[in-house]
Amino acid sequence: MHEYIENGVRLGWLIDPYEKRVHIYRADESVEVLENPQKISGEAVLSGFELDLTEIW
Amino acid sequence: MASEVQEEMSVTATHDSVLLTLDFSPLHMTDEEFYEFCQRNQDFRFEMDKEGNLIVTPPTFLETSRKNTRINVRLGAWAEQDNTGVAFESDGMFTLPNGAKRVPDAFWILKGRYDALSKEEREERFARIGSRLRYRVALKVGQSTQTTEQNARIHRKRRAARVAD
Repeated sequence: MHEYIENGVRLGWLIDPYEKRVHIYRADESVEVLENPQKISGEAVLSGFELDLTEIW
Repeated sequence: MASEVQEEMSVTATHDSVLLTLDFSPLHMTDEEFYEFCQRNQDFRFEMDKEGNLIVTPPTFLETSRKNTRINVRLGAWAEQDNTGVAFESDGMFTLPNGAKRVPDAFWILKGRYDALSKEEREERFARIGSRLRYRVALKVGQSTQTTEQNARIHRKRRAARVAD
């Protein structure tokens, strides 16, 4: 995932359905880990997009 | 006189899949040849890292495929309605600026960036997403590598024969 960010990706999501965890990779090289989130937002990058994760868990 | 050559292969095991990393760099495949190779082995998913190592993933399990589809459907539906960008699904292979060939499970770029690619560039075997593009979202569904991954490195010594003349 870090490679994607290093190569220009603005927002990356690593979704772990086994652990019900989402790793959010941002352009500022930060990584945020969410435990069992219900949904994730596209933020400014995918403005208006929300992914309902209850369908995935 | 024989010399020893050390081969290293990496195997990563997760809950339901095995990921192989193989050193492919001696093969010097062109993009065309690599495309052909991928086409002939469609049961597997391939990526290539920037060093030329081939990464092989077996076919996804049904459950993972279902989840993947869910995400792609949602992203695709939003992308169409939002209309500012283009969504790609999970068999699109992209060449990153560092040379690696990657297959994100879902991908979205701004329309303007996509339109800026020439017809040839768009139809290239593995579209080059270059530095002038700022792509937006890459998505991977699967095991996070931090907690439950097991790593095994297999070292094999191989004798390489050298013919004396």
